[in-house]
Amino acid sequence: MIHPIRDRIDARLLLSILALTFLGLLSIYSAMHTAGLEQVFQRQLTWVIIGLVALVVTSLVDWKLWRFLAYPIYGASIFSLVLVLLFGRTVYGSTSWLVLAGLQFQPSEFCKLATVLALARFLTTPGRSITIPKDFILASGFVLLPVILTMVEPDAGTALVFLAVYIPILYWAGASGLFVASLLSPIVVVVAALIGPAAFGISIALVLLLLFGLGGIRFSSAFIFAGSALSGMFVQFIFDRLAPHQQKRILTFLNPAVDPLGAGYNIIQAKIAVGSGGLFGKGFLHGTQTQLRFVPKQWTDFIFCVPGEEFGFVGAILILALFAVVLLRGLSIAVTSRNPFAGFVALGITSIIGIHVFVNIGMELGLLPVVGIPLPFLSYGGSFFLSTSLMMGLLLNLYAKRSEY
Amino acid sequence: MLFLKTLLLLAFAGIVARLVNIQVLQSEKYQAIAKRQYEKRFTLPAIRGSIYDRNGSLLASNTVFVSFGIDPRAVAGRERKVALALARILPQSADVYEERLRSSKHFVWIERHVRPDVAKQVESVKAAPLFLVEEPKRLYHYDDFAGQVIGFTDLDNTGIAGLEFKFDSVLKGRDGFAILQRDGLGRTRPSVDYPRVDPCPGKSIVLTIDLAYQSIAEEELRKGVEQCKAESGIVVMMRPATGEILALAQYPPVNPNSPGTASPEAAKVRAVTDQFEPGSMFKIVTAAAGLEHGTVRPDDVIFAENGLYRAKSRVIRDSHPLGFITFRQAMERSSNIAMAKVSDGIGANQIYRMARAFGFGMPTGVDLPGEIAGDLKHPSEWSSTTLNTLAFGYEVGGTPLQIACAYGALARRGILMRPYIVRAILDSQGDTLALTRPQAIRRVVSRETADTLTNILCGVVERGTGIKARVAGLEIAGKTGTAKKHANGHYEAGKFTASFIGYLPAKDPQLLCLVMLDNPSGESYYGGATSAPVFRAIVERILNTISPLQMASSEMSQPIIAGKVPIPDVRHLRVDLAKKILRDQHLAAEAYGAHDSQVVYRQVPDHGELAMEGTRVQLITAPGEQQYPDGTVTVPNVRGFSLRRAVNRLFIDGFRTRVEGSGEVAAQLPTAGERVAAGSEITLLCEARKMKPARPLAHQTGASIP
Repeated sequence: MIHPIRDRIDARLLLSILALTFLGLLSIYSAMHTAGLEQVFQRQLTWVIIGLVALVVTSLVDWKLWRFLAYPIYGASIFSLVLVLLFGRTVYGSTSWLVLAGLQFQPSEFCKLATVLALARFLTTPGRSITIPKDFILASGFVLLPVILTMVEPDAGTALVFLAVYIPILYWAGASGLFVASLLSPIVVVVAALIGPAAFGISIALVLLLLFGLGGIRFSSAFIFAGSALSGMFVQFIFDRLAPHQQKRILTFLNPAVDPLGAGYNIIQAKIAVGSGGLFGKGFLHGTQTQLRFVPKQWTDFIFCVPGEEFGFVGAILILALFAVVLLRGLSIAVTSRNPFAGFVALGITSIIGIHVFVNIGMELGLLPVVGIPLPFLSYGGSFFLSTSLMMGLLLNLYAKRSEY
Repeated sequence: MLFLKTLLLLAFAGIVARLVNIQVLQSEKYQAIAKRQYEKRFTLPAIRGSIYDRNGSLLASNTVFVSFGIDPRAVAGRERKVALALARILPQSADVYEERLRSSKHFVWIERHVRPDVAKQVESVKAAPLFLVEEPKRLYHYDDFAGQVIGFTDLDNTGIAGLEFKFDSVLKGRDGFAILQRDGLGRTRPSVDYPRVDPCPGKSIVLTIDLAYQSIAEEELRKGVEQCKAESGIVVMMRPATGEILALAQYPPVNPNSPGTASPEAAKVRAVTDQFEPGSMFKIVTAAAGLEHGTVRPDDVIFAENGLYRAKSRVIRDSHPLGFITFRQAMERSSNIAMAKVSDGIGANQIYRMARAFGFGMPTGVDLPGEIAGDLKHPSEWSSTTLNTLAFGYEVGGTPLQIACAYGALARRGILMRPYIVRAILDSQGDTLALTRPQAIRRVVSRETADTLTNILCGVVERGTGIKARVAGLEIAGKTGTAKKHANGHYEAGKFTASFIGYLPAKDPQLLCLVMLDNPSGESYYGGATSAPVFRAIVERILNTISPLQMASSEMSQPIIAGKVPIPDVRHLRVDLAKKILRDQHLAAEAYGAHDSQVVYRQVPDHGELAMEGTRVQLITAPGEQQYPDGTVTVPNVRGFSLRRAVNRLFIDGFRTRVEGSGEVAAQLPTAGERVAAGSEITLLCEARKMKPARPLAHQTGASIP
């Protein structure tokens, strides 16, 4: 017999969300504790309450409404991105804020969900298929539009999220592995080429291995390989002709450690904070690096350092485990949903959260370049928390209605 | 689906691996880095101890030099006026300062390392908004005064020469530190969690050097060196009774305030680091050996061979040929031939032993850096002529201080004293921590021999080679010395060390002075003609400057800063215990009292007073608590006593005590004067001590330096 409540509420997902939100509040409280910015915590607390209400409401709204409204929502969010560019407020050099009735918000956060909704709607429309070139181009258009608009802001981090989310969606929509590889491999090779000759060589070898593994049409494989290798060499060629300061900017982006006082400062401080936390951490409100404010932007993009330092390895693993539950539940919902649109949306939401989690934590631990995107549930930021709550509410609703077609 | 799950797993695995790496494996490294970032350690430098002369005059201390900078824009249009104001105080001309003020830079130094007294005046120039940079620095108050002896420090304030070097560990103190927390914005804040270790200030040292004696010695030495066209010179002044070094002058001088200008050679304390052949000054060793063992008497007649004597393979000459002379005359006229002849009678071992006894061939143990032992060969290493040449001071090397100490032994009637230059070590409060006591090393010759030699040496000054050292009305024992300079294994033709050493008054020597001129190339190279006049000039000036009374008085070197001890409170103690306590404080005790009582009830001088060491403290014993025939005794008064003293007092008289409360005895039962059975119990009612007018506590007193 199916338990009526357990069947309708994904308890593991919900509890993980609540736990992460609680840890997020603790972290923000600690990060602003000595900074004398009590209003930061107050504001976030307000947003958390609003977000949780939104979560409950969304979880009660039938997902079919979202399918119905997918295109209007997408259109509205694209329109808001244009508005941002025209009337937006500039913070940290990027114009990504819109002030509406005294409230500031970032349309790009909501646009992520809107894009997922529109793509899901588009790709599940009968007769449409990603394997049809025209449809592929149209689908890509849904993604590229917000990418271009956010790049102009400029907010490279958010643009990257749109692109990254597109990959699993393509895969989900049935694109061949070879096809996805042909899109991915030039990007990998180009980045590797900028890092250095050794990385370039390794990336070329990896691409080769992948192509053999996928074992597709020889002609296409050779084409993809040649394209990747050539683009890598082309980028190197261009790079050598750049002015030194431009070269330096690219290099410090890829490897911040070469500029310890500039771009690398944040990374180094974040690593020191997390590393010095040790196994069990220094205790809540006792993290020296956090309390003495060595890590800039700590309550936004570098929030993971706070639990990392104050709760140590144990705390960090706990947070990772909670994220793992969220992501695995998301994937599971995507798989179990009977309706293709629902599955697409679940996968898209899971991908957005996953990209944010890995890019943010990877960046804070110095594994990835510094890309300014926040950590779901933990980072300070109203728009982001609200959009995350909406996505989670939707995911919960998808779970509840997973057997509906 | 599997693909996405694998991707997810790989990403998690990557992050976990990274966390293990930095949080578990490298955690200590990051903790260390974090600590370095947020803990800022400030050294709290210890204040280096000062150096005082024997009378408490400050010779070396610390000061803060000030450098002045300015933003020239602040005085735009007023440059000339400000420059004139500055030039009135600072060393350079107004033009120089005006040029600096007209600089287009935003910061220029006006003057650097300005002495604090001058800096105070500069600060009063209101017209110029100056920046001050304070730089702590060692200040030697009298520049080149006793420069070699005092020495100097390096930029880190570590002593590298002279007493600054020798007593570095004493003077230095111990630096403290404070840890401040520093935040990511570079602001520091004190943290209560961290210990703050206060610096332990260095101790000060008080020298035996007397400012007046030293400056007289230095001035007269300079004049002497210039007049005699000597290369360099040394004056050693000591107090024979104690071995204290009163002055140690060395020319050319060294100014510790600018040590960079001094050559390492000039910065040495040559009186202990360099050895010279003493020449005729060594004849007292030969004479002492002969007189002590009876091989020669002062009036023995010796044939001086008319100035030329072939002894074995060697020719010995006298600068002034003499015929038949007494031994006394041989000393007065400094006949080498006579001494050589006398030495044959004394023998190698006796002379060697006497030289060792006078301190040749071993360090004196003085507290100056770099002291050498000097060369004195063992008779087994002697050649056939060594005995004869050693007899008049060749083939032996002695430091000026060794020679001075040897004469000091004669002045001290046969007892060799250890020379010393640091008489006391004071803590930062000026209280004496350690006091150097005169230390007799050994009896060198009998009192009679010493007196005989002093008598002979008086003749040297009265009518012999040292006549130029004569000071009217003063009996001086002295000896000249003129030695060929020995370098690289042979004697340098025409190069001499000319010396005179003497002590006075001969009857009760208070002062010993050695003057040594290196290679005088003026009219004469004889010690009697060059160094003796310098000696006389020094002695005359000291007699004129310092009252003869003080000069003759042994009080002269009585400690002024230290050496005074507070008299302990010994009242109500048993006499034997009181005496022991006073003895430990170097005070003598004498008990008076008609009764057979064992208890001190009054002491003169009173406790807490400062007294010279050796002062006799009179202990008046109490009219004892006599036992009456019926076995009763009178209860003594212990009201107002501290509890311990009261119990002590009653115990002595055989009473038992019962104590109520603590502190001071407010009342006693039975009361004083009552007659009770011997061994009764007395009840003491005590209450907390009331504040009393401050009285110097025994262990805290000690005169401090003004």
